[in-house]
Amino acid sequence: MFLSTVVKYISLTWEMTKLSILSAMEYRVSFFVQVFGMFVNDIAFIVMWLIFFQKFPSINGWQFQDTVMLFALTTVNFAIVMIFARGAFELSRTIARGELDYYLSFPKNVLWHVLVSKTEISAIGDLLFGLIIFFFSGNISLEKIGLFVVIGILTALIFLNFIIITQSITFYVGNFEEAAEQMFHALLGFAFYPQTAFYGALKIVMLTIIPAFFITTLPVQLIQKFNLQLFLILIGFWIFTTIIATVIFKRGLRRYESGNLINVKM
Amino acid sequence: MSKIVIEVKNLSKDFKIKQKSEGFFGGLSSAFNPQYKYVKAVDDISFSVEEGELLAFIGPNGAGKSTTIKMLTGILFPTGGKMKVLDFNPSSDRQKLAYHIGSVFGQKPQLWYHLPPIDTYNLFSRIYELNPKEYLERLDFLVEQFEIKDLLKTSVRKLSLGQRMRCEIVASLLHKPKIIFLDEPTIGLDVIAKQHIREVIKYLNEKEKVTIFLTSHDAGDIETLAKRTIVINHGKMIFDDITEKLKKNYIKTKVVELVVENPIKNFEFEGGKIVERTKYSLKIELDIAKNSIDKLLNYAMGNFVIKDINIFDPPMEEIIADIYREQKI
Amino acid sequence: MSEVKILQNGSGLIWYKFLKYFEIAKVNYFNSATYFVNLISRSAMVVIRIWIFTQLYKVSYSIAGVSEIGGLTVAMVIWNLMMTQSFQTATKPQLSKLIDEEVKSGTLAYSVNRPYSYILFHFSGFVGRSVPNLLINLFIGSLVAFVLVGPIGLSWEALAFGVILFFFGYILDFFVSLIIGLTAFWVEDTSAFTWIYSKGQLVFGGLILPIALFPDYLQKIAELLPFSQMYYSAARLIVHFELSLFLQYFATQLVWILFFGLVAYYLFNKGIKHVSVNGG
Repeated sequence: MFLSTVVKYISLTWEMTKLSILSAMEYRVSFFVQVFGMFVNDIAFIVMWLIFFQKFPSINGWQFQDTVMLFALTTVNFAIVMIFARGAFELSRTIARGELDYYLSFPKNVLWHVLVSKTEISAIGDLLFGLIIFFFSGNISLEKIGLFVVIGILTALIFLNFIIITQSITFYVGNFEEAAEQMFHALLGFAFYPQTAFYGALKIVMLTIIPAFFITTLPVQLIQKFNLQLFLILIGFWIFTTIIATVIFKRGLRRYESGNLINVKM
Repeated sequence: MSKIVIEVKNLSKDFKIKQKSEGFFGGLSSAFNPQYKYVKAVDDISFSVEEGELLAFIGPNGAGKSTTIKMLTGILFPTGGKMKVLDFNPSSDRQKLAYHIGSVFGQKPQLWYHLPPIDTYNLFSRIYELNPKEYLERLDFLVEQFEIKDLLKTSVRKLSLGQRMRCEIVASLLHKPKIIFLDEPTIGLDVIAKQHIREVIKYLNEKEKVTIFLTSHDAGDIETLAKRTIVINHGKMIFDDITEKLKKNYIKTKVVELVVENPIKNFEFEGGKIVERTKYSLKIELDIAKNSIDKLLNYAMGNFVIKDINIFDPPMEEIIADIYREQKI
Repeated sequence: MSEVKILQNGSGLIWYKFLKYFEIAKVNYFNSATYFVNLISRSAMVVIRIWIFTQLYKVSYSIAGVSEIGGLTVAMVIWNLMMTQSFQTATKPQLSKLIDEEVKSGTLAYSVNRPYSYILFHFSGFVGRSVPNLLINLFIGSLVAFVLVGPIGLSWEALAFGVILFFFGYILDFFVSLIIGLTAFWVEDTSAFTWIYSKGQLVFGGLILPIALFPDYLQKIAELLPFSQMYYSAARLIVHFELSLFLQYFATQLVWILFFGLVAYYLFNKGIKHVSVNGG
């Protein structure tokens, strides 16, 4: 029963995303400009780190190759979220404008519906970039590819939970749109640094409030060298964030349905 | 005895609105010491709707209309009272109820803008988990009834407003809902398109026995469609009866606008109060108890060379204000 | 009353114009300054960012075994980055996006009909939006940098000349953003250009890696490009003042400002004609 629901939602997600992409392809030029533009954007980013590693070849054992793997993983899991759940980034705005009403009128889970209702076309550029540089990141084995896929999806889900949590704070606080966006940029921003450089209190922040550790360091390590214990920790963190996201959203939705939200146009 | 599909008893909804203060320090103070204002949006209303009714639910802006509908569809939960829609409690069974009701909000489209309607229809068939064969039969049927065969494969953005509305209504009917909430379905449409939509709505109600809950600011919508009208104002129900009574008792005036060729010097007509006047035009409020439209027009045509005439119903606000005044007595 | 007096008095006209643009800047300021929560979160991000840089460069320098690279110590690098980041992030939301939206929605038609220069209008808005963010970013950034790496020697000339470079770099950023926004007249979606621009700033604007730390050949190229001349050059000069450097940077800025200013003016006029031909 549960499994069939999951399958249903997955296939519906695919339908929705397909429609979004079809819809965007109405504007051929814009579509390709976005994909290509993002691809170039990502290349520029990694070029900057290439220059950095010219001056500082190894940061506590972390080398340019590791950054490449990091980029591959991060862009791919970011792309997954942006392609299938872009609505998450506008959750805050949707809540603040009372637009959840639209989703509430359907016989489907509201959160899911908001998430899948939009697709970011440029993320296709990110996906391409990530997949391409994955193949430049060192010895590629079948095992590595398998790990990359599994861990990529897992981290994408953790990433998604983070966004849902930060965006859902709007249910409680009012206009949290910009703050949520800031936190997202923080997470994404921090994700690209050589993680071995960090110590002390900052490291703690990266394990908790801005969980860059779980989205970058840990997964990259797992792909380079699989370790069951670490893998279980990653899964544990995923379950943990899923629970928090679910609770925060559900309670928030209840608040929304009471009509007493600040700043909401009823 | 027809089945009751909507039952509302002593329904109330209060809103707690936080008072925001201006500026930076205002923002600080409202963060630490928030001030609230309580607003009673819906105040103890009760009514029931039978299967197959076509009912108009009207009132001025801010009267509590949208709030009531949102409660009936499960988007908001009430602060008091009980309600049942198709044997479901909307607040707790929103998703289950959603399979059996449809809604068309004039302002918020359901159809994907850049794609042809058929794509949205197919998507909906999946969302509402319709049996593919039944869905296709239903689609063919609706497409024929609403005459949208040629529009199916055209991008929604290329359709006229009237065409879009017809397609939107079809979208809300694919899953054979038992109740439809129509919010401002004819807004922005020209006279012919309005007519067409009204026919479509009438057909739905008569042939398919769909219960229709209509809100509109357009008096024409109400007069031509709804047998029963509920008027709500300041959260309270102030009228619940057959629409005829609303017309007979409360539409007491008609407004006539005249544009004439030669400058107007005198205009005297019993029961006709001049509300606006310029050199070449007049706006007259006619008390239809005292005199009739055709006599007014005869007088006008007999005394002036008419270049243009417009005849309006009094605005909904006025009708309701009248009802309210009457209620107080 | 005073309006009439000013109009009658010829010299008052300039004052009136100034007041007008000041009002526009003020409106934009209040619009962005009101959200308390967002202010806090933005500041928190500034703190974390500088913290990351500090750890990254302390570790990198110590591994490389040097105390100075390209004339900059770790402390200087951090102050440099703090300033470059403060300057650059103060200019969000992107002007180019705003203009894109204006063009697309057609409100441009209204802006053009108004009795003030379109460009000045947007500049006032640009300033108004960025001033509060800039001040806050600098204030908090300075506190954090002070706590984490200590002070760096600041001379009056460094600040004075640095401010000049900042002012002109600011204008340069404004022109480029304006140009990108104006391409909305011809292109469906300007976001690709905006990304490329912001990545140009990332790589060659010394936002994460100061240009002084680039390999030599790349450094020379980067300093000639407009990206480095917007915010990096001011920050670099303030951190370690050299008159020759100032002259070099300033000259480069002027060349680019002239270039982009002309392009902006040209595009704007062409764009307006385009609108009137196509009916907007």
